[in-house]
Amino acid sequence: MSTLASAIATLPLYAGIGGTEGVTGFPNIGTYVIFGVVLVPVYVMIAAWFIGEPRNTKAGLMGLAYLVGITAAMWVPMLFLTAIIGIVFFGGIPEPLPFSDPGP
Amino acid sequence: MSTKTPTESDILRPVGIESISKTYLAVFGAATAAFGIFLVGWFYQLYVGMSVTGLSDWGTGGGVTWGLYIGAFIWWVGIAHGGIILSAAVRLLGMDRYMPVARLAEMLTLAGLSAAGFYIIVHMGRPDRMVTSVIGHYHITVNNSPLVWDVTVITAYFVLTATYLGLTLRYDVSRLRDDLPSFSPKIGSFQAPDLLAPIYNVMTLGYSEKEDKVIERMVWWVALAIIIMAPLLLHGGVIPWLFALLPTYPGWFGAIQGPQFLTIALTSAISGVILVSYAFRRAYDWDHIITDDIFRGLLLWLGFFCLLFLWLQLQQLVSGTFSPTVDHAAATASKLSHPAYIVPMLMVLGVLAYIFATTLRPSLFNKKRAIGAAVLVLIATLVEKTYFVVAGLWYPAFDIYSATPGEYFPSLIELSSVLGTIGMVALFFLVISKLVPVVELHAIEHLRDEHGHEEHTETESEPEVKA
Repeated sequence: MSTLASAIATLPLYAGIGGTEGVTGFPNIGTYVIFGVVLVPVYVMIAAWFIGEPRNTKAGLMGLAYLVGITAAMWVPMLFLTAIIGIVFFGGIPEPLPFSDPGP
Repeated sequence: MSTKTPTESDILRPVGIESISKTYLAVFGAATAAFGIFLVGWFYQLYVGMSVTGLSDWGTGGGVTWGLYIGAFIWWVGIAHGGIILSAAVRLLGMDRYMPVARLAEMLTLAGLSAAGFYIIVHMGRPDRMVTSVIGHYHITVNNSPLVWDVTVITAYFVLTATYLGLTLRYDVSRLRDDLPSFSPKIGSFQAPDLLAPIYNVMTLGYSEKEDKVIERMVWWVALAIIIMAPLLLHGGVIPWLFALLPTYPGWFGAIQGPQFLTIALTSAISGVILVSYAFRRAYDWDHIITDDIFRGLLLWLGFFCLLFLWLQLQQLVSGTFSPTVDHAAATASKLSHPAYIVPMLMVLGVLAYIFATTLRPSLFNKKRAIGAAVLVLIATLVEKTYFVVAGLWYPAFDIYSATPGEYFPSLIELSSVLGTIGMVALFFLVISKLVPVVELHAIEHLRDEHGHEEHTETESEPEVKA
């Protein structure tokens, strides 16, 4: 009996294929496509700034500051706006922002 | 070619508040009103919900949940491409002829991308979802969501273009600093310091003439990165992949959408550059800077891209009619009978025919016709893109939405969004042209050299057939 029970317990009753099986998780196709292909010109550009001639590391760092600064200028205000929208209309900072209340 | 020699004072003419004319104020008022009308509609949409557009679920618009908002989003990203591609072509391929419109084109990229980004926020329903669903879960979603790929690459595109503009402006702003505007308002007895000075100081932080060559090389690499990433991997990549990766929508599915999207984008892009260039030329008497020759060249490029646009449409029609699957046949039959597809194709074909005719008979060219061609292409691409988005949902595999009630037609709020974003882009140009020169100082130096050279050699080149 116990042999039968253990045999049943080990039966593959679950088909083993979830709805998102194979298309989610890290790494996946997007990881390769975006970071391995689409953004390659950006990596090459940044590398060329620092290793090409005439070279000036300070200018290269300034270029990096442009990239980081403009990205931050685009997204950081949106983080604050999201927090404000949450506080004003929905009673608190939404997840997954810091200081947020766990949602329902 | 005009006999007037371009000078620094020419490109400084739009800058500063002293140069504000009645026409400027009228255009500013019209653009603000256009943007304002849409903002009222958008606030109403925020208050009531996306249901006011019929796009909020599968059952109110006949199964259509992506409509004009998404069509216009693609349209604006397409227009944005013209700018930076033209500018990169000047820098990488030595197409100096277009140097006078290169910066206007770069600015069109920033404005167009801003309009496109705005559409995403509007279409998300709740604007806070941009952060909570995209940024908050980026590490999970970027691995498998084409929507998040899009957000990533559009951010990269915007950042690269703004960096490009920021680096090239250092040269101009440092040399023209004394002629750039100041703004020191007096509030009661308090005299405020110059509020614009910090902006110019940040833009030229640490500038010295020694950096010019290094910056020029860095900008060349930015141009190279953009010209590979933006057309091939953004508008020929992640944006068409929003549709082309979904086999249940035969009107969308297939590898051809990459090149097809790109050619459509390039036609609207060149049209956008033609319109903006013409507006500035007319407003500031820049006939000797933005010459007829530039419009002839841009029109030829427009013709070339129209040809590619129609060629790829032909590929889709032939493969969709010869021996298609049942699902694919329904999608193609819609194209061959729906005015929102047929009319734009005829408009693009008409523009192509006109441009071809101008190459045979150059006297057929004039700027008004070039503007007309650009406007027709812009209307055609907006309608075609919206039809593409909507028709994909009209004809899914197995006709799975056939029982959903309702029909989709863009609501007034959606229609006003087109007007509103055009107003928004116009406002962007009206404001930025007051702060910095919209024509590169390099372009003026180049044109002056050319003038000097022409006066010496007295030779004229034939402009009609070169691009």
